[in-house]
Amino acid sequence: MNGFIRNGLPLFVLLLLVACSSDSQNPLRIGSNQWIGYEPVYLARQLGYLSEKDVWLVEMRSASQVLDLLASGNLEGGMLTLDEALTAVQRGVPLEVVAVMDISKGADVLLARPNLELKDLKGRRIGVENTAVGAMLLEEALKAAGLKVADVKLVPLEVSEHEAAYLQGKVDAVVTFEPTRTRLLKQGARQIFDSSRIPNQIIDVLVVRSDLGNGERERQIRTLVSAYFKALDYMHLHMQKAVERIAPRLHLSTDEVLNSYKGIQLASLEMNRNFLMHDKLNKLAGRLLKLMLDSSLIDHRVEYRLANPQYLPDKK
Amino acid sequence: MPSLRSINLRFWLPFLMLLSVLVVQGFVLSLAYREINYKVQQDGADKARLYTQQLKSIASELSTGLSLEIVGDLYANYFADVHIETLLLIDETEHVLIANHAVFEGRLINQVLPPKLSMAAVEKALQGRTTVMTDAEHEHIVSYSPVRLGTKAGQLRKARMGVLILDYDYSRERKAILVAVFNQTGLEIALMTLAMLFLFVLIHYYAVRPLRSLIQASRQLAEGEFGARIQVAGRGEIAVLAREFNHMAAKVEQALNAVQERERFLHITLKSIGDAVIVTDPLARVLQLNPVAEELTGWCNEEVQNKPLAEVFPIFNAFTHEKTKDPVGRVLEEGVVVGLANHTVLRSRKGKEYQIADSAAPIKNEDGEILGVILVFRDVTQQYQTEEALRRSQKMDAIGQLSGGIAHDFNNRLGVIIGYLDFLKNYLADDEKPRRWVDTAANATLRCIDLTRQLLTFSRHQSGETKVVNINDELKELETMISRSVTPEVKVTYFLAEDLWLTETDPGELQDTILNLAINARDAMPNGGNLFIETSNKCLDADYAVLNPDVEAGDYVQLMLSDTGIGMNRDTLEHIFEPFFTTKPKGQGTGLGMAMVYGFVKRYAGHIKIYSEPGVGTSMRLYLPRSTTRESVDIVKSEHESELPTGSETILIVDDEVDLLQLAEYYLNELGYRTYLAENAAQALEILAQEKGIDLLFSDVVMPGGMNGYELAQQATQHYPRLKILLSSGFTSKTFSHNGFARFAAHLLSKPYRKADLARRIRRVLDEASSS
Repeated sequence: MNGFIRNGLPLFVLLLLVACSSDSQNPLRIGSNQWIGYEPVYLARQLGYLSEKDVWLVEMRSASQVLDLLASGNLEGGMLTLDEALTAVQRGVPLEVVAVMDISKGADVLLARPNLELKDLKGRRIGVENTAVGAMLLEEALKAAGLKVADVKLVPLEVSEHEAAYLQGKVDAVVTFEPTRTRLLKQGARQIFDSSRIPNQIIDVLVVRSDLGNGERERQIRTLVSAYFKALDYMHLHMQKAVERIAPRLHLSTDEVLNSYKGIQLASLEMNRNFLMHDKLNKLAGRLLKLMLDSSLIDHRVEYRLANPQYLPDKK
Repeated sequence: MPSLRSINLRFWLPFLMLLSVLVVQGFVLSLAYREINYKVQQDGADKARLYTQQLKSIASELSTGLSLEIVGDLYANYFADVHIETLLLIDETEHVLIANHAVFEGRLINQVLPPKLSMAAVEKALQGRTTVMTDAEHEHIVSYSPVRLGTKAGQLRKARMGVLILDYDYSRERKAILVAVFNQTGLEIALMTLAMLFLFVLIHYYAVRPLRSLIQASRQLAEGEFGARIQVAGRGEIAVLAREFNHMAAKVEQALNAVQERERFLHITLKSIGDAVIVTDPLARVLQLNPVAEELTGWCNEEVQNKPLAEVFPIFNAFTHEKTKDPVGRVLEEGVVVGLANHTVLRSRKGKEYQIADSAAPIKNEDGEILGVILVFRDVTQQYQTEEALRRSQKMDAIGQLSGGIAHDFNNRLGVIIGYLDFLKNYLADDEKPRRWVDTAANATLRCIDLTRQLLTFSRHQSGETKVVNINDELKELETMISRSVTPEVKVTYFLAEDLWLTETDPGELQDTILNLAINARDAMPNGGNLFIETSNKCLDADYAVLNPDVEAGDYVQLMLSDTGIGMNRDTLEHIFEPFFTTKPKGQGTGLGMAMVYGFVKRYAGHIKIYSEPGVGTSMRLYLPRSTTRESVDIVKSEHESELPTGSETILIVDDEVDLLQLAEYYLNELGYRTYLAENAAQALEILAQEKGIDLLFSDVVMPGGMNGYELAQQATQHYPRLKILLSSGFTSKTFSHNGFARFAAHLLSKPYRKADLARRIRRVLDEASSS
């Protein structure tokens, strides 16, 4: 009897409990690399809009790590650039865009040594992440300089390696984005091209795997999306307070953070509706795919409908 | 009988079940929670150890030339684990190589180390010592493990040492379990509550409602609705109980019906009792009267409930008119059956009085406790009167016997005296002076004879010379005499019936009787008044005969004398017919008048009834039997003494009184007859056998020594049919008039007889046809 109470009974109760508690043990795992556009989500967590019970935010060294874990199923969602998302889809990872987070308007940049101009890039070593955004920005920058990709030496770098590679002199220029941009500018780097010159081309999106099923996962996604928009609202109202929370996390000053935000436009709910409901995102994705195909970033094209507006909160 | 404790089943049963389930559940869960918590901790520790081992292995690949990027990618797989709160790999310079917060990378550990982690442990790990720490809440396991990262640049042997910091958080499991426990408990409570509600409803419908109908039926039963039954269906305990209840109710009803039937029967029995019955409680308050009691007391059963018995049943002594002691009181005191005193009279509510006989008995229960008294009584007024009359008549008979016996003897002596006085007078034929003395003596003797005759008239039971008479005629004859007998202040009024029936009687005695009564009436009215003399025809029926045992039912002639005199009290009435009883002053009355009247009436099979009220008057009713003979016949008056018939026949004289025997011999010899003498019957029969020429047997009736005159006459006439018989007697006992001696009764000469009487009777008997 005692044995039953000590072993059998707890086991039995445990089985019952495990059956009941699977959800709270299984939060929605969302991966991201460092990007100020993604910070509103972390802000939402700090402000208590998101609980770890519902959403587990995983900070990754790079988007490629995020993509790897998304593909392996260790993440349910991620914050990616649109092209990264498309890349994953092309690799067979079923993803859908549930929110557009930001539009790069100068946040993605080409930084170079202080003595270099855009036209001086020929034959130089340029560090770039092996992503569509990187490719696209570099291509646009070279196009502006009247150069071709073949005119420069490309050094593929992970985003976490950008700063070190630049400082160690491994590259003459680097295609990067915030917060690395701000840190390198502080080190004397010079911004010779940015995404403000190619509007609405580089956007960041919140994706989730489309094979998560219904019920609890849907609720978690909806919680995440609405928490994100709540954090955006908070930022609009209390920008300074928000930045004071964001800055220590990124090891930046508040000014640096504020400055960083000048390079992007955080996508409002209205803009999200515009993108997700009116096929705008899908069209942009189509264009991007073409570019990626042209740049051999992908080898074939899979038609896929990315946008899923169902998790957007109702209009206020 | 076991005591019955009860709770409200509907509420308490589900509630207690719920409570006990929850207590058990809580106990089990608390046990289980401890175990689970322990297991979670163990699992967490295991997992943390495993991860540390894996991560250390990956990090050590750095020393084999694997790039930091690749190691970082491999580490990234762990970042997604929700349990790993912090994962840091630092190098010997304390710079962060890999962190699950990318922003930490490249920084000094002391800049980025989360506050709850220990820098000291990091330092220790850098010196090659592993530290594993658990936080106060037992939710985190933090391990600080030294990791070999590779060789230092330019040195072959000295390895680059790093530190792997892993903060493994297993609070999620515990929280999850807590939440699950909470959820499950909530769900169970909800389900249990639902189940208990269901149980409540079940109990309500299948236990409480049937019990309520049981209660309802019990109430009905208690309130006297003995037909109350419960509709039963099913075989449950309550159904069994209900069936048992129905069975019990049926039994109760049956038993009660039997009791009621019995009560009804007892009630009817009580009502049917011919005697009156009164039931009282122990305080002598009336509970019930039966119909006879209602009739006698004049109260109605409904009116008398709880009334004191003395009010309903007032009794007093018939003579003293004093209240009789309440018998119920004595019964209650002594607990015994008590009979009523004699002469108890009950006065009814309407004032009517009943002579009653009763008894009162206690009603006792098994323990001998007195619950009340039952009083049984009956109206014995008639019986009492009957007994009184019988007693009186028996007394009169006895007195008659006694006085008759004395008178008889006295008569015989007087007969001798007067006889010899007659002889003496004849003997002193010429001597005037002694003759006068003899006359005086003879007169005194005649007065004595008269008195004796009156006494014998009372005591005699056989009539003398009867005639069919019309009493009205006799009254008319007596009218002058009556008016002379009474005082002028007394007014005599006659009410004579026109077609008055005839009766057979001795007219002389009748007249004596009427005069006697008239004189008594006069004496009762010393200051004058009214005397009503009334005759009528009366039919005395069987009921009257029952009340008056000396009367036979039939037609009677009633003679009534009523006065408005002083009346008589009860005591006087009791003794009125006794000889020598008188209320008159000494010397005025003989005390034989009413005795004679009584004797006369009895002798002629009549009946006398007296009604008297002191101060109001007295009414005497004489009833003489109606005679069937139509005409009253006059008997030829007897001749004068001077013409005494004589004869020469031979006569045998029998008398036990020698003096009378000799006197008779003298008389008969003087009249010319030849005589033989015998002192008793045996002698007489002897003489009859010897002497063949005897014509007449003249015998006394009453003789000592066996054979009386009648028997002698009987035997003699059997042997000598031609023998004539004349009997003489002072009185005749009833027995002699029966037993076939009646034929001799016609030839009876009353004693004492004078010479003339004897002469006439002897002659008449001798002259009768010798056929008898």
